Amino acid sequence: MSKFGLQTVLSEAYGLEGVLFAGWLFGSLCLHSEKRMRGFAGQEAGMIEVRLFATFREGRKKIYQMDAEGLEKASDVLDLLQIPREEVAIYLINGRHSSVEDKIQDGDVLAIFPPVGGG
Amino acid sequence: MGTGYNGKIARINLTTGEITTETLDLELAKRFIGGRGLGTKILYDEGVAKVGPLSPENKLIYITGPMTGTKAPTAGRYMVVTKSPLTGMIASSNSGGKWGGKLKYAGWDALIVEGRAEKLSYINVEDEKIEILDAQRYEGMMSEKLDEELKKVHPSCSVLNIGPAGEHQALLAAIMNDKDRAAGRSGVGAVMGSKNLKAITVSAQRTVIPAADEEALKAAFEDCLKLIRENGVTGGGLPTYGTAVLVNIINNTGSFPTRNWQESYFEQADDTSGETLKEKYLVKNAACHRCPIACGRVVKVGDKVVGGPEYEPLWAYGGNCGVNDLNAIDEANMWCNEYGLDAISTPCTIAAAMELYDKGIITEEECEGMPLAWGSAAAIVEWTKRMGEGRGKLARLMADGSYRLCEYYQHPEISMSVKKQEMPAYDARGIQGIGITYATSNRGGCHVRGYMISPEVLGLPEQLDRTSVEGKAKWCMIFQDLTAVIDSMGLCLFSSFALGAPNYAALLNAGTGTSYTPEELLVAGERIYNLERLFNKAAGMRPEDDRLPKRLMEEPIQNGPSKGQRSRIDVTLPEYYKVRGWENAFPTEETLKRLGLEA
Repeated sequence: MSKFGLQTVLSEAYGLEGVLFAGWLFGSLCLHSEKRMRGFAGQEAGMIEVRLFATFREGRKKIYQMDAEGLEKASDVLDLLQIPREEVAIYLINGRHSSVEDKIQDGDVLAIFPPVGGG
Repeated sequence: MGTGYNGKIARINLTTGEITTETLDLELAKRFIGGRGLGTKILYDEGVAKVGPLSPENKLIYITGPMTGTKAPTAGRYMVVTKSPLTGMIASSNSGGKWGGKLKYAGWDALIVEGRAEKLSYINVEDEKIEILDAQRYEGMMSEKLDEELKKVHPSCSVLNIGPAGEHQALLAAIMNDKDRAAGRSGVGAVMGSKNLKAITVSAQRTVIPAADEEALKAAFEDCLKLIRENGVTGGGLPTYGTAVLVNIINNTGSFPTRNWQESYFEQADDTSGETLKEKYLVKNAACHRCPIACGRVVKVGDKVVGGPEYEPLWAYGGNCGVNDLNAIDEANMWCNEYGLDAISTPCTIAAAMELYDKGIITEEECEGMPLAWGSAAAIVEWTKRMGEGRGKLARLMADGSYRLCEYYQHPEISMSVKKQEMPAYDARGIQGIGITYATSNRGGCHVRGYMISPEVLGLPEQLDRTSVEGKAKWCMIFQDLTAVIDSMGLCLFSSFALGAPNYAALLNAGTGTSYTPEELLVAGERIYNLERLFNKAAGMRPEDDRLPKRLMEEPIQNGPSKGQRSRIDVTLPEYYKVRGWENAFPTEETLKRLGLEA
């Protein structure tokens, strides 16, 4: 019955990796954030699109078009947007469930969700 | 010391007017738990599988679970179990609100309604007293108005009723309770209409259900409440955005059926999302009996404050009809509640009609001034009203569901249904496991008979690859069996985002005095699922009824993140039968023996 245990749920939903890395990365990336965050600018070559949902929209935009240069992993985007990793439950790259450590590339669409459910 | 059950069932014969009290067989109750399980057992044993669904011989069982009305979190559910006129198979339609808890407080575990009243009637339950009363003055009355009128006569009552759709026996008719909660699926409202039964009012003095072990129940309740409050979904996502929060995530996986499943990504989905609903229309949350989640939405439609749409109607009226006008969806959903229509199958049938219209099969003339055009906000509102009223030939056809509609026009492939009931809001081409749920659901196209979206999309209890078929059959079976348990206990399925089988076993054992282990509880769920299948077999189900619409296998998704995907039910269904111990869609003798269901 461990499949239905809460611990499993929590450990699967909230990765704990890379928390220390986040602080350093945010510092280095925020210098370029003005350039990167263009809001609803539309997809251009060399850009990625980041879509935020539910509570992640509070104090942020719904969609960001970002220059892909210097953004290697999904976690880099979280740091740039100041979204704590432990708050992310679902991370989609081009509609596929992904890890925050997965590589991103030009033209990717990222969708980021806190814990959500329904039926 | 109690048992969680009242130990009493009322049998009400509307033909003769006879009302009798029967003692609940406690051993049988504990074996089939209650609610969905026990209701199916009664219906099966009484030979209802072979009767005409709209004949006086069909029976309507309104049944609670042993947890209904107790202190357990989300313990407000009841089931309507009957033979479905939509599918011709088992119907077990679940609802929340306050009515189920009231029935339990009044001292009854279930009401079994038989026969057909000579004139439109309603049943009034006041604790021990049950009476059949004249309802002719309420003929044609809408659900909310009827709720208010009956409360003037029985001031402290909770009201369950049908609207005009149930009265004219539309096969998509729902049973409503507490104004906007619905036992929505499989046409249970039509069965109530066929019995000339407009409503059941329930009043109760008592507010406590004695448990077998009050201390143990309190401890289990506290454990469960903590888990529900701490869980990101039940303690955060659902209370904040309601089920509507799914619009964006399902769309972003490219599994959001669009324009009657011709596509699976809706560009304007965000206009109809839980986030937009909260921002523009939400008045407040609403909670069912004893529910700490409060996922219900109360919204403004014009100058009215009404129950808001769940994810399913937001999708079915929205992307599935190509509509991005949230105000119109709120209104159409309100009309579903008022007329008493299934808010999944009704908009799905409109979507099928839109495809028929788009292809020139339904003509402009047949639309009588309201074209069934993709994206038409006016059409979803107007056609819902016409279906509710049974106004016009086409609307009457549509009110019997997409299968009969499309068959009439000789295009059955356009009906996106299983066992003649419309499939809900997740594309089984992009999410493989939910296709097994749809194909094998005993009540036809349905997501809540084994909510595979939880592991395949939401990552609960662990993240599976939604596009893979590997291991999905076993997962689906576990979800189906656990769901049968939750439905039978009288709890809300949403509790399972936070709770697992050990929690349910702890609650049930404390409430009833049983000693189920989590594993044994899953076997009890398996027994219920197999019994439903036996009911269907007796009702004439054929192996080929476990099928998905051809579109899901033959037309890969055309757009969005799941482009190119198609259902692999050809692989998963045989595997599913194997893990279930079924051959050719039905349990083997060996399986029946193992479950104690042999003849």
